[in-house]
Amino acid sequence: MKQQKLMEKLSLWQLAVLLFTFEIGSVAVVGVGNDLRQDAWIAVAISTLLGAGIVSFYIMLLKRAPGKNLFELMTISFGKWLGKGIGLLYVFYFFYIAERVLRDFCELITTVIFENTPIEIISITMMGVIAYMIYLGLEVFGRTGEIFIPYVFTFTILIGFATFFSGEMDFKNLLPVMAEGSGPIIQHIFPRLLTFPFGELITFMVIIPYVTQFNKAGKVSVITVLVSGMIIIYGTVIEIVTLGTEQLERTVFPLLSAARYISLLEFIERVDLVVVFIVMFGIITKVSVFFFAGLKGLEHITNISYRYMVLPMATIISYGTILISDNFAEHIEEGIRFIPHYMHVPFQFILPALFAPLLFWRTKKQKRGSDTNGSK
Amino acid sequence: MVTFVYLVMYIGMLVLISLIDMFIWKQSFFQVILRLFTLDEGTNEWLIGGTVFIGFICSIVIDYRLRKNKGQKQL
Repeated sequence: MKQQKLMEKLSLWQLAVLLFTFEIGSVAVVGVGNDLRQDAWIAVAISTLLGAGIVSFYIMLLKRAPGKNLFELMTISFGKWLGKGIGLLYVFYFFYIAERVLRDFCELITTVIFENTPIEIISITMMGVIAYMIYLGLEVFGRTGEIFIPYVFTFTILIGFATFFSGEMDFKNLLPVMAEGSGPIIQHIFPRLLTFPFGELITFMVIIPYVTQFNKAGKVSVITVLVSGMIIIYGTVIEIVTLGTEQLERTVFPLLSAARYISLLEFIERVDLVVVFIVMFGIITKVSVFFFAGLKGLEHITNISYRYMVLPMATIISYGTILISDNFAEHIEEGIRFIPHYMHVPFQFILPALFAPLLFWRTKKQKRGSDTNGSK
Repeated sequence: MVTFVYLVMYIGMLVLISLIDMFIWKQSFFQVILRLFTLDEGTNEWLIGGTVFIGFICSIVIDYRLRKNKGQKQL
Protein backbone atom coordinates (compact mmCIF):
# COMPACT_ATOMS: atom_id res chain seq x y z
CA MET A 1 0.00 0.00 0.00
CA LYS A 2 2.91 2.34 0.69
CA GLN A 3 3.42 4.65 -2.27
CA GLN A 4 6.73 6.01 -3.39
CA LYS A 5 6.95 9.63 -2.26
CA LEU A 6 7.08 12.20 -5.04
CA MET A 7 9.85 14.69 -4.58
CA GLU A 8 8.28 18.09 -5.05
CA LYS A 9 10.26 21.25 -4.61
CA LEU A 10 9.41 24.91 -4.06
CA SER A 11 11.80 27.75 -4.74
CA LEU A 12 12.45 30.43 -2.10
CA TRP A 13 10.57 32.96 -4.22
CA GLN A 14 7.56 30.65 -4.47
CA LEU A 15 7.63 30.19 -0.69
CA ALA A 16 7.68 33.97 -0.23
CA VAL A 17 4.76 34.37 -2.65
CA LEU A 18 2.67 31.73 -0.87
CA LEU A 19 3.45 33.22 2.55
CA PHE A 20 2.52 36.69 1.38
CA THR A 21 -0.79 35.74 -0.23
CA PHE A 22 -1.60 33.43 2.70
CA GLU A 23 -1.16 36.33 5.13
CA ILE A 24 -3.32 38.80 3.26
CA GLY A 25 -5.96 36.16 2.34
CA SER A 26 -8.76 36.44 4.90
CA VAL A 27 -7.44 39.74 6.27
CA ALA A 28 -8.42 41.40 2.98
CA VAL A 29 -11.96 40.03 3.42
CA VAL A 30 -12.88 40.72 7.03
CA GLY A 31 -10.05 43.05 8.12
CA VAL A 32 -8.26 42.88 11.45
CA GLY A 33 -8.52 44.88 14.64
CA ASN A 34 -11.73 46.66 13.60
CA ASP A 35 -12.85 46.79 17.27
CA LEU A 36 -9.80 48.92 18.11
CA ARG A 37 -11.04 51.65 15.78
CA GLN A 38 -8.26 54.16 14.94
CA ASP A 39 -5.64 52.15 16.88
CA ALA A 40 -6.04 49.01 14.77
CA TRP A 41 -2.87 49.71 12.77
CA ILE A 42 -0.79 49.93 15.97
CA ALA A 43 -2.01 46.50 17.07
CA VAL A 44 -1.26 45.09 13.61
CA ALA A 45 2.26 46.58 13.71
CA ILE A 46 3.01 45.00 17.11
CA SER A 47 1.51 41.68 16.01
CA THR A 48 3.66 41.70 12.88
CA LEU A 49 6.82 41.89 14.97
CA LEU A 50 5.55 39.15 17.27
CA GLY A 51 4.47 37.15 14.20
CA ALA A 52 8.04 37.25 12.89
CA GLY A 53 9.10 35.80 16.24
CA ILE A 54 6.49 33.02 15.96
CA VAL A 55 7.70 32.09 12.47
CA SER A 56 11.30 32.00 13.73
CA PHE A 57 10.17 29.56 16.44
CA TYR A 58 8.50 27.29 13.87
CA ILE A 59 11.62 27.41 11.66
CA MET A 60 13.82 26.60 14.66
CA LEU A 61 11.74 23.45 15.25
CA LEU A 62 12.02 22.46 11.58
CA LYS A 63 15.80 22.93 11.65
CA ARG A 64 16.12 20.31 14.38
CA ALA A 65 15.24 17.64 11.82
CA PRO A 66 15.80 19.01 8.29
CA GLY A 67 13.47 17.59 5.63
CA LYS A 68 10.83 16.53 8.17
CA ASN A 69 7.43 18.23 8.27
CA LEU A 70 5.20 19.04 11.25
CA PHE A 71 3.64 15.55 11.34
CA GLU A 72 6.99 13.77 11.14
CA LEU A 73 8.35 16.01 13.89
CA MET A 74 5.44 14.99 16.10
CA THR A 75 6.14 11.33 15.47
CA ILE A 76 9.78 11.93 16.42
CA SER A 77 8.74 13.75 19.60
CA PHE A 78 5.76 11.73 20.84
CA GLY A 79 6.44 8.34 19.28
CA LYS A 80 4.55 6.56 16.48
CA TRP A 81 1.03 6.19 17.90
CA LEU A 82 0.69 9.30 20.04
CA GLY A 83 2.40 11.32 17.31
CA LYS A 84 -0.08 10.09 14.71
CA GLY A 85 -3.00 10.69 17.10
CA ILE A 86 -2.00 14.31 17.64
CA GLY A 87 -1.33 14.53 13.90
CA LEU A 88 -4.95 13.52 13.26
CA LEU A 89 -6.11 16.35 15.55
CA TYR A 90 -4.01 18.74 13.47
CA VAL A 91 -5.65 17.37 10.30
CA PHE A 92 -9.10 18.21 11.76
CA TYR A 93 -7.83 21.66 12.72
CA PHE A 94 -6.41 22.36 9.26
CA PHE A 95 -9.55 21.16 7.47
CA TYR A 96 -11.83 23.09 9.80
CA ILE A 97 -9.89 26.33 9.28
CA ALA A 98 -9.94 25.69 5.51
CA GLU A 99 -13.75 25.49 5.78
CA ARG A 100 -13.89 28.76 7.71
CA VAL A 101 -11.65 30.61 5.26
CA LEU A 102 -13.67 29.32 2.31
CA ARG A 103 -16.88 30.42 4.07
CA ASP A 104 -15.48 33.97 4.39
CA PHE A 105 -15.00 34.08 0.64
CA CYS A 106 -18.36 32.48 -0.18
CA GLU A 107 -20.14 35.08 1.97
CA LEU A 108 -18.27 37.90 0.25
CA ILE A 109 -19.05 36.59 -3.24
CA THR A 110 -22.74 35.95 -2.58
CA THR A 111 -23.08 39.41 -0.99
CA VAL A 112 -21.16 41.42 -3.58
CA ILE A 113 -21.08 39.73 -6.99
CA PHE A 114 -23.24 36.63 -7.35
CA GLU A 115 -26.24 37.71 -5.33
CA ASN A 116 -28.59 35.16 -6.88
CA THR A 117 -26.18 32.23 -6.91
CA PRO A 118 -26.55 29.72 -4.06
CA ILE A 119 -23.61 29.77 -1.65
CA GLU A 120 -23.35 26.00 -2.07
CA ILE A 121 -22.44 26.41 -5.75
CA ILE A 122 -19.64 28.87 -4.90
CA SER A 123 -18.32 26.50 -2.25
CA ILE A 124 -18.33 23.46 -4.56
CA THR A 125 -16.78 25.23 -7.57
CA MET A 126 -14.06 26.95 -5.52
CA MET A 127 -13.18 23.68 -3.84
CA GLY A 128 -13.11 22.00 -7.26
CA VAL A 129 -10.48 24.48 -8.47
CA ILE A 130 -8.43 24.09 -5.28
CA ALA A 131 -8.64 20.29 -5.39
CA TYR A 132 -7.45 20.25 -9.01
CA MET A 133 -4.50 22.53 -8.19
CA ILE A 134 -3.47 20.46 -5.17
CA TYR A 135 -3.87 17.23 -7.15
CA LEU A 136 -1.37 18.57 -9.70
CA GLY A 137 1.12 19.10 -6.90
CA LEU A 138 2.95 21.64 -4.81
CA GLU A 139 5.06 22.87 -7.72
CA VAL A 140 1.97 23.79 -9.76
CA PHE A 141 0.59 25.53 -6.67
CA GLY A 142 3.83 27.51 -6.31
CA ARG A 143 3.90 28.48 -9.98
CA THR A 144 0.26 29.62 -9.85
CA GLY A 145 1.25 31.96 -7.04
CA GLU A 146 4.19 33.26 -9.06
CA ILE A 147 1.92 34.15 -11.99
CA PHE A 148 -0.64 36.09 -9.96
CA ILE A 149 1.51 37.84 -7.34
CA PRO A 150 2.48 40.89 -9.47
CA TYR A 151 -1.21 41.70 -10.02
CA VAL A 152 -2.15 41.13 -6.39
CA PHE A 153 0.70 43.30 -5.10
CA THR A 154 0.19 46.09 -7.65
CA PHE A 155 -3.59 46.23 -7.18
CA THR A 156 -3.21 46.31 -3.38
CA ILE A 157 -0.85 49.28 -3.59
CA LEU A 158 -2.95 51.05 -6.25
CA ILE A 159 -6.14 50.85 -4.16
CA GLY A 160 -4.51 53.12 -1.55
CA PHE A 161 -3.30 55.64 -4.12
CA ALA A 162 -6.62 55.62 -5.98
CA THR A 163 -8.57 56.26 -2.76
CA PHE A 164 -6.16 59.09 -1.89
CA PHE A 165 -6.46 60.78 -5.29
CA SER A 166 -10.24 60.36 -5.18
CA GLY A 167 -10.11 62.72 -2.18
CA GLU A 168 -11.91 60.26 0.07
CA MET A 169 -9.20 60.01 2.73
CA ASP A 170 -9.36 61.96 5.97
CA PHE A 171 -6.17 61.41 7.95
CA LYS A 172 -7.77 63.01 11.01
CA ASN A 173 -9.60 59.69 11.40
CA LEU A 174 -6.33 58.27 12.74
CA LEU A 175 -6.57 60.57 15.77
CA PRO A 176 -6.55 60.39 18.75
CA VAL A 177 -3.76 57.84 19.01
CA MET A 178 -4.23 55.37 21.88
CA ALA A 179 -6.99 57.42 23.49
CA GLU A 180 -7.93 54.50 25.77
CA GLY A 181 -4.33 53.59 26.57
CA SER A 182 -2.47 50.45 25.63
CA GLY A 183 -4.80 48.03 27.50
CA PRO A 184 -7.32 47.34 24.69
CA ILE A 185 -4.51 46.94 22.16
CA ILE A 186 -2.67 44.35 24.26
CA GLN A 187 -5.94 42.50 24.94
CA HIS A 188 -6.70 42.41 21.24
CA ILE A 189 -3.24 41.25 20.20
CA PHE A 190 -3.43 38.10 22.30
CA PRO A 191 -5.04 35.86 21.27
CA ARG A 192 -6.96 37.33 18.34
CA LEU A 193 -4.39 39.19 16.26
CA LEU A 194 -1.48 36.93 17.07
CA THR A 195 -3.37 33.80 16.08
CA PHE A 196 -5.02 35.31 13.03
CA PRO A 197 -3.23 35.68 10.67
CA PHE A 198 0.29 35.15 12.08
CA GLY A 199 -0.12 32.00 14.18
CA GLU A 200 -1.85 30.29 11.27
CA LEU A 201 1.59 30.11 9.65
CA ILE A 202 2.03 26.83 11.53
CA THR A 203 0.65 25.24 8.34
CA PHE A 204 3.89 26.24 6.63
CA MET A 205 5.68 23.73 8.86
CA VAL A 206 4.28 21.22 6.35
CA ILE A 207 5.41 23.20 3.28
CA ILE A 208 8.81 24.67 4.23
CA PRO A 209 10.59 21.25 4.22
CA TYR A 210 9.92 21.12 0.45
CA VAL A 211 11.88 24.33 -0.20
CA THR A 212 15.04 23.78 -2.26
CA GLN A 213 17.32 26.01 -0.18
CA PHE A 214 16.07 25.04 3.24
CA ASN A 215 18.88 26.94 5.03
CA LYS A 216 17.63 30.23 3.68
CA ALA A 217 13.91 29.47 4.22
CA GLY A 218 13.96 30.93 7.74
CA LYS A 219 15.31 34.31 6.66
CA VAL A 220 12.93 34.47 3.68
CA SER A 221 9.92 33.56 5.86
CA VAL A 222 10.68 36.22 8.46
CA ILE A 223 11.24 38.92 5.82
CA THR A 224 8.01 37.93 4.02
CA VAL A 225 6.01 38.04 7.26
CA LEU A 226 7.36 41.55 7.92
CA VAL A 227 6.53 42.68 4.36
CA SER A 228 3.02 41.17 4.47
CA GLY A 229 2.55 42.78 7.90
CA MET A 230 3.40 46.13 6.36
CA ILE A 231 0.84 45.55 3.60
CA ILE A 232 -1.77 44.63 6.24
CA ILE A 233 -0.94 47.87 8.11
CA TYR A 234 -1.25 49.76 4.80
CA GLY A 235 -4.67 48.17 4.18
CA THR A 236 -5.81 48.87 7.74
CA VAL A 237 -4.80 52.55 7.47
CA ILE A 238 -6.68 52.84 4.14
CA GLU A 239 -9.79 51.40 5.82
CA ILE A 240 -9.55 53.76 8.84
CA VAL A 241 -8.89 56.97 6.92
CA THR A 242 -11.46 56.23 4.21
CA LEU A 243 -14.34 54.80 6.22
CA GLY A 244 -13.78 56.50 9.57
CA THR A 245 -13.99 54.66 12.88
CA GLU A 246 -17.79 54.58 13.11
CA GLN A 247 -18.31 52.97 9.70
CA LEU A 248 -15.27 50.71 10.14
CA GLU A 249 -16.88 49.12 13.20
CA ARG A 250 -20.16 48.48 11.37
CA THR A 251 -18.92 47.32 7.98
CA VAL A 252 -18.59 43.61 7.23
CA PHE A 253 -16.02 43.81 4.40
CA PRO A 254 -13.96 46.96 5.19
CA LEU A 255 -11.43 46.96 2.32
CA LEU A 256 -14.19 46.38 -0.20
CA SER A 257 -16.26 49.21 1.28
CA ALA A 258 -13.22 51.51 1.13
CA ALA A 259 -12.53 50.62 -2.51
CA ARG A 260 -16.12 51.55 -3.43
CA TYR A 261 -15.25 55.20 -2.70
CA ILE A 262 -12.72 55.27 -5.54
CA SER A 263 -13.75 57.59 -8.35
CA LEU A 264 -11.01 58.95 -10.58
CA LEU A 265 -11.53 61.30 -13.53
CA GLU A 266 -15.22 60.33 -13.52
CA PHE A 267 -14.05 57.24 -15.39
CA ILE A 268 -12.32 54.77 -13.06
CA GLU A 269 -15.12 53.61 -10.77
CA ARG A 270 -16.50 50.39 -9.26
CA VAL A 271 -13.00 49.02 -8.67
CA ASP A 272 -14.32 46.85 -5.86
CA LEU A 273 -13.97 43.99 -8.34
CA VAL A 274 -10.21 44.47 -8.06
CA VAL A 275 -10.52 43.85 -4.31
CA VAL A 276 -12.55 40.72 -5.08
CA PHE A 277 -9.71 39.55 -7.33
CA ILE A 278 -7.12 40.12 -4.57
CA VAL A 279 -9.35 38.38 -2.07
CA MET A 280 -10.08 35.47 -4.41
CA PHE A 281 -6.43 34.75 -4.98
CA GLY A 282 -5.61 35.17 -1.29
CA ILE A 283 -8.40 32.79 -0.31
CA ILE A 284 -7.46 30.19 -2.92
CA THR A 285 -3.90 30.21 -1.58
CA LYS A 286 -4.97 30.07 2.05
CA VAL A 287 -7.50 27.26 1.62
CA SER A 288 -5.01 25.37 -0.55
CA VAL A 289 -2.27 25.64 2.08
CA PHE A 290 -4.58 24.38 4.84
CA PHE A 291 -5.97 21.66 2.57
CA PHE A 292 -2.51 20.53 1.47
CA ALA A 293 -1.27 20.51 5.08
CA GLY A 294 -4.24 18.38 6.15
CA LEU A 295 -3.73 15.98 3.23
CA LYS A 296 -0.04 15.59 4.04
CA GLY A 297 -1.09 14.75 7.58
CA LEU A 298 -3.40 12.02 6.29
CA GLU A 299 -0.61 10.77 4.02
CA HIS A 300 1.68 10.51 7.03
CA ILE A 301 -0.95 8.71 9.10
CA THR A 302 -2.17 6.24 6.46
CA ASN A 303 0.94 5.84 4.24
CA ILE A 304 -1.22 6.44 1.15
CA SER A 305 -0.28 9.19 -1.32
CA TYR A 306 -2.29 12.31 -0.59
CA ARG A 307 -3.36 12.51 -4.25
CA TYR A 308 -5.78 9.60 -3.74
CA MET A 309 -7.55 11.55 -1.00
CA VAL A 310 -7.81 14.95 -2.70
CA LEU A 311 -11.28 14.54 -4.21
CA PRO A 312 -13.05 12.82 -1.26
CA MET A 313 -11.60 15.31 1.24
CA ALA A 314 -12.45 18.28 -1.01
CA THR A 315 -16.12 17.21 -0.93
CA ILE A 316 -15.99 17.09 2.89
CA ILE A 317 -14.55 20.62 3.00
CA SER A 318 -17.14 22.06 0.63
CA TYR A 319 -19.82 20.33 2.75
CA GLY A 320 -18.37 21.66 6.02
CA THR A 321 -18.11 25.18 4.59
CA ILE A 322 -21.90 25.36 4.49
CA LEU A 323 -22.53 23.34 7.63
CA ILE A 324 -20.32 25.32 10.06
CA SER A 325 -22.85 28.10 10.48
CA ASP A 326 -26.33 29.10 9.36
CA ASN A 327 -25.40 32.67 8.50
CA PHE A 328 -22.51 35.13 8.40
CA ALA A 329 -23.29 36.61 11.83
CA GLU A 330 -23.00 33.17 13.45
CA HIS A 331 -19.82 32.51 11.49
CA ILE A 332 -18.20 35.71 12.82
CA GLU A 333 -19.48 35.01 16.36
CA GLU A 334 -17.77 31.60 16.35
CA GLY A 335 -14.65 33.23 14.93
CA ILE A 336 -14.45 35.66 17.83
CA ARG A 337 -15.72 33.64 20.81
CA PHE A 338 -14.54 30.10 20.16
CA ILE A 339 -11.87 29.70 17.49
CA PRO A 340 -9.01 31.88 18.84
CA HIS A 341 -9.19 30.55 22.41
CA TYR A 342 -10.03 26.88 21.93
CA MET A 343 -8.54 26.07 18.52
CA HIS A 344 -5.84 28.53 17.50
CA VAL A 345 -4.06 28.82 20.84
CA PRO A 346 -3.74 25.05 21.53
CA PHE A 347 -2.70 24.13 17.98
CA GLN A 348 -0.50 27.14 17.27
CA PHE A 349 1.23 27.61 20.59
CA ILE A 350 0.51 25.01 23.30
CA LEU A 351 1.18 21.82 21.30
CA PRO A 352 4.33 23.16 19.57
CA ALA A 353 5.59 24.39 22.97
CA LEU A 354 4.91 20.90 24.38
CA PHE A 355 6.67 18.98 21.65
CA ALA A 356 9.62 21.39 21.31
CA PRO A 357 11.54 20.15 24.42
CA LEU A 358 10.87 16.53 23.45
CA LEU A 359 12.06 17.20 19.91
CA PHE A 360 15.25 18.87 21.18
CA TRP A 361 15.91 15.93 23.50
CA ARG A 362 15.22 13.24 20.87
CA THR A 363 17.23 14.92 18.09
CA LYS A 364 20.12 15.59 20.49
CA LYS A 365 20.11 11.92 21.48
CA GLN A 366 20.05 10.81 17.82
CA LYS A 367 22.87 13.20 16.95
CA ARG A 368 24.95 11.97 19.89
CA GLY A 369 24.28 8.38 18.79
CA SER A 370 25.36 9.07 15.21
CA ASP A 371 28.49 10.94 16.43
CA THR A 372 29.46 7.94 18.60
CA ASN A 373 28.97 5.53 15.67
CA GLY A 374 30.97 7.84 13.42
CA SER A 375 33.91 8.00 15.83
CA LYS A 376 33.98 4.19 16.12
CA MET B 1 -8.38 2.62 3.53
CA VAL B 2 -9.45 5.80 1.66
CA THR B 3 -13.11 5.03 2.50
CA PHE B 4 -12.19 4.49 6.15
CA VAL B 5 -10.28 7.79 6.21
CA TYR B 6 -13.24 9.47 4.52
CA LEU B 7 -15.66 8.20 7.16
CA VAL B 8 -13.31 9.15 10.02
CA MET B 9 -12.92 12.66 8.62
CA TYR B 10 -16.63 13.06 7.90
CA ILE B 11 -17.73 11.93 11.36
CA GLY B 12 -14.87 13.82 13.02
CA MET B 13 -15.76 17.07 11.27
CA LEU B 14 -19.44 16.63 12.18
CA VAL B 15 -18.53 16.11 15.84
CA LEU B 16 -16.22 19.15 15.77
CA ILE B 17 -18.88 21.39 14.20
CA SER B 18 -21.45 20.09 16.72
CA LEU B 19 -19.16 20.79 19.69
CA ILE B 20 -18.64 24.37 18.54
CA ASP B 21 -22.38 24.86 18.00
CA MET B 22 -23.05 23.38 21.46
CA PHE B 23 -20.65 25.95 22.93
CA ILE B 24 -22.15 28.87 21.05
CA TRP B 25 -25.85 27.98 21.29
CA LYS B 26 -25.81 26.14 24.66
CA GLN B 27 -27.74 23.23 23.16
CA SER B 28 -27.41 19.48 23.67
CA PHE B 29 -25.37 17.34 21.26
CA PHE B 30 -28.46 15.66 19.79
CA GLN B 31 -30.25 18.98 19.26
CA VAL B 32 -27.25 20.30 17.38
CA ILE B 33 -26.84 17.14 15.26
CA LEU B 34 -30.55 17.20 14.41
CA ARG B 35 -30.24 20.84 13.35
CA LEU B 36 -27.21 20.04 11.16
CA PHE B 37 -29.02 17.28 9.31
CA THR B 38 -32.29 19.16 8.84
CA LEU B 39 -32.57 20.52 5.31
CA ASP B 40 -33.87 24.08 5.66
CA GLU B 41 -36.60 25.03 3.24
CA GLY B 42 -35.63 27.41 0.48
CA THR B 43 -31.96 26.53 0.70
CA ASN B 44 -29.89 24.37 -1.62
CA GLU B 45 -28.35 22.21 1.08
CA TRP B 46 -29.16 19.10 -0.96
CA LEU B 47 -26.41 20.23 -3.33
CA ILE B 48 -23.68 19.80 -0.74
CA GLY B 49 -25.37 16.65 0.52
CA GLY B 50 -25.09 15.29 -3.02
CA THR B 51 -21.47 16.41 -3.28
CA VAL B 52 -20.47 14.69 -0.06
CA PHE B 53 -22.19 11.51 -1.28
CA ILE B 54 -20.22 11.71 -4.55
CA GLY B 55 -17.07 12.03 -2.41
CA PHE B 56 -18.05 8.84 -0.58
CA ILE B 57 -18.61 6.95 -3.85
CA CYS B 58 -15.26 8.26 -5.14
CA SER B 59 -13.46 6.99 -2.06
CA ILE B 60 -14.96 3.51 -2.58
CA VAL B 61 -13.89 3.54 -6.26
CA ILE B 62 -10.36 4.70 -5.31
CA ASP B 63 -10.11 1.92 -2.73
CA TYR B 64 -11.27 -0.63 -5.31
CA ARG B 65 -8.68 0.58 -7.82
CA LEU B 66 -5.90 0.54 -5.22
CA ARG B 67 -6.82 -3.04 -4.26
CA LYS B 68 -6.97 -4.08 -7.93
CA ASN B 69 -3.54 -2.57 -8.64
CA LYS B 70 -2.11 -4.31 -5.58
CA GLY B 71 -3.56 -7.65 -6.74
CA GLN B 72 -2.08 -7.21 -10.23
CA LYS B 73 1.36 -6.40 -8.77
CA GLN B 74 1.29 -9.56 -6.68
CA LEU B 75 0.55 -11.67 -9.81
